[in-house]
Amino acid sequence: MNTKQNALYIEEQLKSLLHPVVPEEDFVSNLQDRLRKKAAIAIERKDYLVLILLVFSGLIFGVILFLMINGLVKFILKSDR
Amino acid sequence: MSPEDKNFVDNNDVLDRAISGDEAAFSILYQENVKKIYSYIYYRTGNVKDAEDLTARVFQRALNHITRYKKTKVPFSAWLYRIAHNLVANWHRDSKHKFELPLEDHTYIQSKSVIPEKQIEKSQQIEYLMRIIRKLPQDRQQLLILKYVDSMSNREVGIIMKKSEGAIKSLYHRTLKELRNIIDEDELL
Repeated sequence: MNTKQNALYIEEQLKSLLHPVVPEEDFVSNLQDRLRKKAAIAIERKDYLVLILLVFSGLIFGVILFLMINGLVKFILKSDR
Repeated sequence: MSPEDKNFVDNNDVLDRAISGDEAAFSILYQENVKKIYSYIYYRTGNVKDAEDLTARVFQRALNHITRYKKTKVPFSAWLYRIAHNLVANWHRDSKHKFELPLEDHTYIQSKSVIPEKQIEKSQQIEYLMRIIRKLPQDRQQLLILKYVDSMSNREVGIIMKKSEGAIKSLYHRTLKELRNIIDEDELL
C-alpha cells in the first residue's frame, strides 16, 4: 500500500469507528439542576457583594467626613486664638 | 462566520440573554451543547466518571464567566470546547490517568442496529484505534476527535485550537502519517 492509500485507509477507519457518545440522561438533568442552584447562589452572592461595597464606601465616606470636620474645627480654633 | 461553520451557529437572542445573567437562557445553551462537550471529553479521557466530572466543571466555569463572554471573539460552542480542552489538559497533567474507554457504558448514536457479535468486534476495533490515537501528542488527539467525533471542518477545528485553516490541514496530514507509523510499529511487535 502506498502512502496515499494508507492515508485513505486510516481516514476510512476513523470515519467508520469514531462516533459521538451520549451521556446518561440522569447525568444531563442532574447537572442542569445543579447549575440552576449554582446560578441562584451566584445571584445571592452578587447582592451580598453590593451590600459589602455599600458598607465599605459608607465607612470611607465617614472617615473623609470626620477628617474634614476635624480639620475645620482645628482651623476655627486656630483662627480664634 | 462562514456558512460551513455548521457546528457554531449561535442563537444570538438566547446568548445575549445568557450574557446578561438570564438563567433560563443559559439552560438552553446548556441543552444545546452538553452532549457535544461530554462526547469530546469522553474521548479525551476515556472514562465515564472523569467525562462527567469534567463536563460539569466546563459548564460551571461557563456559568461563572458567561457575563464576561465576548460574542465577537469566538462562537459560544467554540468557547466551551476551549474550556473543555483546558480542563482536559490539566487533567492529563495532574496525574497519570489510566485510559479505559469502557464502550459498553455508552449508546453509540450510529450503532444501535448492529448485532451483538458485530458490536463486540467494532468495540475491539475502537479500543485498538483509541489506544493508537492515545500515543499521539495532545494537539493531534484533539484534532482527530474534533474532526471525526464532532464532524468539524478544518476551519472550525482551527477556531477551537487557535490555528489557521491551513495550519490545521497541515497538522492533519502529519497526524495521519504519524498514526500510520504507530500502527506499523505496533504490528511489528
